[in-house]
Formats: sequence, structure tokens, C-alpha cells
Amino acid sequence: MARRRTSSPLFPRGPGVGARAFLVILLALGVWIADQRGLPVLVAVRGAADWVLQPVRWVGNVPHDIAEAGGELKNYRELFAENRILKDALLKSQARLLQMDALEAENRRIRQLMASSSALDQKVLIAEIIATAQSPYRHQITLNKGASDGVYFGQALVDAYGVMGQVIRVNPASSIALLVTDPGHGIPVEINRTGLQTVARGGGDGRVLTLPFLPGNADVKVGDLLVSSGLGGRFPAGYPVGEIFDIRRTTGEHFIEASAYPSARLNQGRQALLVWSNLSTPVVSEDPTAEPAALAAHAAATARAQLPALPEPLPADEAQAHSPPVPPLKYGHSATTSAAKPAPAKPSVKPKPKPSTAAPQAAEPSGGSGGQPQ
Amino acid sequence: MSFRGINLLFLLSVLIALCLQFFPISLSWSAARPLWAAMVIGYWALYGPNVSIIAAATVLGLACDAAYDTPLGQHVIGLTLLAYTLIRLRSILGLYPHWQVTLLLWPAWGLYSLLMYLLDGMAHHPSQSLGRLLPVATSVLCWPLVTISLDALRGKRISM
Repeated sequence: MARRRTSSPLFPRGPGVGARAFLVILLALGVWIADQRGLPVLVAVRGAADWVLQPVRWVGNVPHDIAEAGGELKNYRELFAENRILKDALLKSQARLLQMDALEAENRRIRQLMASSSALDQKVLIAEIIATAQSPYRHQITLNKGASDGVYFGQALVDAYGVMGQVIRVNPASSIALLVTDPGHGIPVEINRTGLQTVARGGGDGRVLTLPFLPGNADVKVGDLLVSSGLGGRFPAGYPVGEIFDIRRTTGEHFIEASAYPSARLNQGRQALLVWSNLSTPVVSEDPTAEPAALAAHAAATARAQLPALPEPLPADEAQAHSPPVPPLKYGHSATTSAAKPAPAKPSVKPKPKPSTAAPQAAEPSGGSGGQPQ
Repeated sequence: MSFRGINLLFLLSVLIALCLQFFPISLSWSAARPLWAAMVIGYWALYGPNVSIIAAATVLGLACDAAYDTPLGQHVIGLTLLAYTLIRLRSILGLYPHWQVTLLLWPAWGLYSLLMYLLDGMAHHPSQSLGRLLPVATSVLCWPLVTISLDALRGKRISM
């Protein structure tokens, strides 16, 4: 009859705890380096770990769900008042929507006239936020939609108030999105009032966005609305991104820095909208950290072009400063370097000596000025 | 408590630590979230009998990496190093009462946080360094709660 073990052995055999810890740390270090280099096997490992964690996430969310359910129990008077407010809001929204329909139709006609290929209607999917704000150092949320729902890397995420972020990891049944306030996130924006294009980066504290590449003479005011410009093709154009609340000018610097509050309510609500971009090819690179760098270089090039005459410009540089500012914006490390360099002159076009002839050149629409990878 | 009971309690505490680690709270509060995973590993490393603490540190670390989207292995390194350090110190720390151990353990949480900060920096994801000290402080405050709860569940006499 087999003896049943009731306690741990007095003298355990096998490698000691030091050897085991050393082996695990060595292995983990190797995995850490491999994950940094983007080993494809680890994506599957991460997906499997995420799948295993689903029940833990569900259990972790139970108190929150109970509290939310308790909050939804309201009396008749509250419901009546809420109903009245909602009806008023619906009427107002419908009135605005009617206006929007007319504007949309007009915009479509104008775009058709301009032979623009961008459409206005986007396919969207409502996703539930199943985990949020797990770490104060990574502003990410986990959504309950994944690859099985057609979610793809780089997909834009919005809520009812503005752009929330983009998908950075797609698991079979869930996905992780990086919020616009993360310090590693950058989004091409334009100031709605003036049309000035720049890049909004995450401030890192979870509350603000920073605009570090505004030219010194830029027309920026507190209260200006930032909307997504659609440059790069990752985010659909025209969605509110933030509102400027602070502008800092440093004496002797060519650039000013502005701060904005994000329009999206990042820490409120349980739903978000995944937006399908109109582009057929979503994203080239799978390195989310490369995008802000490329966009930053692009914004710096744009801002440099918008600056008034910089001291001692060379004739060739001057011609380039008046020319369309960007080469086609691509993602990835190689694109970063190419975007940082000034656009090479076309071999067939010779630089013209007079600035007055350079200006019409700048006005010509170039094929890659939209920066959309096709 | 029997060997099987200890193992069950060990697994249960690891699961609860995971749930607490992933419990959704607002961003401003999450900066001060105690290091639940590190504290549970620390407790079993200091006071537990022969449980598979290194294996638990590996599993908990992988779970944290998957949930926080940190490079795989980052939390595994931190938790395994913490477990090993505390196992080495258990013969010394075991002599002291709980309240003194609470004070003596803050460098352990600090080193764990510092390691995570360094690895985050190496992974090109810098963060505010002072913000990293908040979980250290809350972990020191929550450590007595963890030890008293787990001691009570194990049927040990609680002595502060």
C-alpha cells in the first residue's frame, strides 16, 4: 500500500533554491531581450497568458460591476428627470445631426470635386473596456474585442467625446490599447481654428497632452480645439483630440510648447468605439514607439517650414523651406530617419533662383503629402 | 495545518494577489496600488514552509507581464529576485517580531520597484521616478494586513 505523503520531505533533493532562482532569472532575462526584439513566438505566449487571465480579470471586475449595478438602481423621480434631460439632449442632437447631414453632403461633394479618396463613413465596433489603469506608468486599457472580431494593430479607438488611443496588441479574444496620454503615444493633430498641423504627445501623468513642436509665431490660443488630422492614416481625420489650456513660450527658442486636456473621457465609461480606417493597408510597422518619433520629425519639419526667415539660410535650404514640407510619412525606424531629413529635390525639377517661383511649386499637391501609407 | 492545506492556502493567496493586482481603480489611485504580488511572494518566502515559491514567482510574474503589457520576463525577474533574497534572509528576519519585520522590509519593496523602474527605462518606457515610491509606502502599510490574515488562516499564533 502506497504511503500517503502528509508533509514536505525533510531533506529535499534536486537543485537548491539559489540554482533554481538563477536559472529562472537567466531564462527570464533571455525572454525579456527576445520580447524586446519582437520574437513572434512570444506573441503567442502572451496571447495564451492573456487568455488564462480572463477569469482573474472577470473576478477582479466583479466588485466594480456590483457597484455599477447598484448605482443603476434609481427611483421613479430620478428616472423621469433623466428621461426628460435625455429627450432634450436628443432633440438638440437631432437638430445638430440634420445640420451635419447637410454639411457632410456638402463636404462629400467638395471632396469629390477635389478627387479626394477619403470617405466620411467609417465602420465602427463597440468594445467593452474590461480592464483599465492597471499601472500608472502605462496608460493602457484592455478591450473585450480581439483578432476574432477583426481588430488589427494600430486601430484607432474613440469614445463619444474624442480620440482615446490606438490598439497596440491584439489577442484572440481581447486587445490592449495605448491611450493618448501615454508618454509613448503621439497623434498627428491640427488646431481646428487655424488648421496648423502638429503632433500631440502623451504627457505621462494621465491627464494632459503636450504639443512640443509649435513654431514660435504660431497662432495658438488657450481654448483651441485639437482635432485629428488624419496624417499617417492611422487615425481618422476630424475627431476631437484635446483642448489647449496652457501655452509656454521660452525666450530665445524657436518653438513654443502647449498643453492640452484630452477630449476623450479616458477614465470614465466602460465602452469604446473601434474605428476601421478607410485605408486598405492598415499599418506597416508593429513598433508603436517608432510612430511618435516619425511624427515628431514630420512636425518639426512642418514647423521649420512655417517659421519666418531663419538666420543664414542657404539658397538650396531656402528653396526647400518653401517647398512642401514632408516626404511621404511612413512608420518604422527607417522612416524616422527619412522623415527627419529634408525632402530630396526631384532630379527633373531644377531649383529656381527666385523665391516667387518656388511658392507655386509649394502649392502643388504632391502625391505623398497626405502621408498615408498605401 | 496539513501539507495539502498549506498548498491550497498558498494557491489561494496567489490568486487573491492577482485579483487585487488587477482590480480596476482610477489612475490617480493606481499609482499607489500596493505591490500585492510581491507581498504574497514575500510572505511565503519568509514564513512559508517548502512551497514552490520560485515557480509561483515565475507564474505571477508572467501574469503581471501579460496584464501590464510589459516585456515578458520583467516581473518574473523582479519577483524571483525578491523571493530568493527573502528566502536567504528568512533565518535572520524570522527572529524579529512582525512590526520590526514590517520596517525592515521596506528596502525589499524599494529594490523591487527600482528594478522595475530600471527595466522600464531600458525598455524605452520611462516614468516618473518619484511616483515609484508610492507603492513602496503603501506596501509597508499593507504588509501587517497580509501577514496577520495569512497567519490567521494558517492557524498560527499572531504575535506583533
